[in-house]
Amino acid sequence: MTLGAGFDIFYAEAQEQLEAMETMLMALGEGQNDDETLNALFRSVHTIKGSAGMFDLTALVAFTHVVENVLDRLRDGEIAGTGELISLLLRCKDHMLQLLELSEHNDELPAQLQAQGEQQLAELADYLDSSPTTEQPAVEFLDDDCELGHWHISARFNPDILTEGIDPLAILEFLESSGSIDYCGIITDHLPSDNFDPTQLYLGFEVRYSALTCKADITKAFELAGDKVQLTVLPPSAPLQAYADLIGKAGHAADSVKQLLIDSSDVKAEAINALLKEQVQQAAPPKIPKTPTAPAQSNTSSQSPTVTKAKKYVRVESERLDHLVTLIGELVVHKQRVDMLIEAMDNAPLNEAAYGVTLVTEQVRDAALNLRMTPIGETFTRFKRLVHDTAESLGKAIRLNLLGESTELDRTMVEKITDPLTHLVRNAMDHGIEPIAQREAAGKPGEGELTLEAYHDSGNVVIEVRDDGGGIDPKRIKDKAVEKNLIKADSQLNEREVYELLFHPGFSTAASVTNLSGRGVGMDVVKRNIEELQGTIEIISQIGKGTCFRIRLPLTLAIIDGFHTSSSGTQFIVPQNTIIECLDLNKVDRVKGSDNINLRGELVPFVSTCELFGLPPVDSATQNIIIVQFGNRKAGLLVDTLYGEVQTVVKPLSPIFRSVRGIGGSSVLGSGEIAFILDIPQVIAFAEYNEQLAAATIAGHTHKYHDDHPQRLQ
Amino acid sequence: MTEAAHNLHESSQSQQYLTFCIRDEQFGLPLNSTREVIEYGEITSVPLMPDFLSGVINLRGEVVPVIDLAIRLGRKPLEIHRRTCVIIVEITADGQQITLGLLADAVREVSEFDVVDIEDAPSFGAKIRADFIAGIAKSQNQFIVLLDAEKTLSVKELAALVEAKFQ
Repeated sequence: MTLGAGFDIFYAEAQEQLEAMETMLMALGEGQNDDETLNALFRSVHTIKGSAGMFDLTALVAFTHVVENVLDRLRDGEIAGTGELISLLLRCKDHMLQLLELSEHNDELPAQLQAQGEQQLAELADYLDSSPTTEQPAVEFLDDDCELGHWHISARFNPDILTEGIDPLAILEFLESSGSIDYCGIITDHLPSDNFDPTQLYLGFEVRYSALTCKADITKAFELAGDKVQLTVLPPSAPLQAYADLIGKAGHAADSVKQLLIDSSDVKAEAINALLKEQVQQAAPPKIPKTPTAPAQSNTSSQSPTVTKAKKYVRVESERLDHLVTLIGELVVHKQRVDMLIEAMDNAPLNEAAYGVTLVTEQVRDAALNLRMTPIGETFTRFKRLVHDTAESLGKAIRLNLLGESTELDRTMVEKITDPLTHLVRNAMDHGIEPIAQREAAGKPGEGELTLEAYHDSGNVVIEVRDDGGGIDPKRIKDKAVEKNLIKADSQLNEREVYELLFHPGFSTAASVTNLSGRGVGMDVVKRNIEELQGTIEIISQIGKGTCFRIRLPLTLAIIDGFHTSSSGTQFIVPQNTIIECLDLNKVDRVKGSDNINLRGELVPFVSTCELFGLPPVDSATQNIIIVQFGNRKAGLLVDTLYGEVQTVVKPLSPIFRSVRGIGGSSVLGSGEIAFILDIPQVIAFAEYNEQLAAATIAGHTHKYHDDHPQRLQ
Repeated sequence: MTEAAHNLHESSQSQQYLTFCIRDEQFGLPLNSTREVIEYGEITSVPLMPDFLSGVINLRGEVVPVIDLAIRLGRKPLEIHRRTCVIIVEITADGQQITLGLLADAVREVSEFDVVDIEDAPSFGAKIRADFIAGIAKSQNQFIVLLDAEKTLSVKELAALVEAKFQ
């Protein structure tokens, strides 16, 4: 079986439909059982079945068909959407996904999967009506015997079918792959004489099709058009009456249809004329044909039109987007070089023109980056299922709150943040939220609350995973760390440093290993993943009240606005969103004897970039301080020269530099020089570490900070 | 023997190496791990790096780390002069392709060595870590140390050396 080029598209769409199915099932579970949800649910399953049919995925079609029937009954209110049924349908969705994945590799159905499917079908059978009426679509699918000969297909599409992206010609071409189209007559009676709209389809088709096939196969070819096509398929053995009915149905186009039927030599002129005359004499109104019509047609009445506002989307391969962003990055760099040259020329009109280019370049950059922005909501929604299932298996009652789902961040970030988030959510459910009895004993509601929240904060995206569980006891962590020889028993750590220990590889305070633990991902991996995204994670916890994991991420990793500075000949870029102000060192109120300044009454520590990065100090009369902020901490960076704002393309540093502290990436300046992008939180942490190290050395190792500091554990 | 079969025979028997000099010693790297040779340009030193990491260069917009191979092989640091060049190599580590630049005094040629002509490294005396050496070849009465690119430039090891600077 060859699956053709359309398969990739089908595969991606089916995956999306399955995701949508899960989302709607979860919504249903939360009591949102309005018509719209039920209809959408039915539609997504119906679409999967339809397109799967086009690719001959019989196992998937057969299974999905039963699911569809159950959903149909659910929609019609014949059965109730109990928690049990929803759990079953969720499992069915998983099964469908497995079948789909199998089809990609064209694999045989493994016995285990087949058994799983049969088991689920047996469970579904309880929800199916035993009376034959609901089984009718199935009968139609199965009652077809293959016949060899001249089939007749009569297709009338809704005029708006082209705007739905469905091309009737493609369907006919698809038919040709398994037979031959002997004749294709076109009904032009519906063409308007004026006000012709080229986006509408006015044509009808009468096709004579030679193949060894069955009706279901032909119908399947049209499945994509769903209820937007009225299809009549007449098998080679169809009686003349069926053709007469076809003509009768055609209304004012009857004559054209008749002529086409005669032209296609499907019917003989005399015979059909005689039959029609007889009918006219009986003055019988055109009957509904006895031959079964396509199931799509019978669905038209029951399916309500889509209520959700349709947005137009274009499916683009993500690599193409990434390529575009890379190219725009290059454009930004080259433009800066041009700017430098133009500036040197001192030509006013040229300057003005260049400024125009600058503005447009910035807009192009923003637009391109915007293309990659995705709301975090899609990722959040996936957790509904995880929480539902996990809570069930843990025997806990947990409600998931999602906040700020529309917060957008770069697609590449969204992809990479999913794993760490999954781990944190699992952790919160497993170790954070207590069992029902324990919660009630503590005077808390039995149902635990897990909150996922995203919001923007000073140029960053913050994602919080909060639970209202037992909280983390710093003493327990310390004891465990001492026991594991990570710190000395007498080490003095503040709360933040204690929580930091949780991110040490192999650290686990869970007394018992549950089936959720031991998945090979520890908190250290969570932290590393987040740091790879230039983000940070902090823990805020209160015993008995709950824990919050707060992740801070930059909006994008591709291009940033930065401030270009240098120290001792080394070029640095400070991310613009961290800068509060720049000050002349000679003009600030420096606190005597310490590296602190008095910034309008606020004590702000500062660090010299030369000292921090081991650069030879330059005796410069004009040193400057850049005041940066990260979260709620402020600090000053002492640098030699300030150059100004630049847009920079972030070039990640080679993996060799993985452990370099304070530098988050590199960037090529307009001059071709390489600058290092400072990672402000890391710079501050690095400075703190150095100073504490120095203090410990001066103090004669009384604190042995050098041995105990959690930073050393990494 | 047809020409194609002959070629096949030949390729299975011999390997191509890019040979270069560091001071008066000659080395070779498998040609398939080298990408290009460029003139020594401006190198931006990276703060707090161990000596063997000379810095980074801008290779047509790509930021590429440059390694002083002399230090990595336990020799004195290379002295930069007019003919110093950078050999750009590509190696694969953890399924990721890594581009590195290597400093060399001069690049000689692309040589083809028959497998039978490549001798094992002597157990001592080369003053280079034994696992760096893939073999020793002889050409015009000179010995050429053929390096194992993956081991000599092991990203894991280089990253660990960088990490050591921060402890």
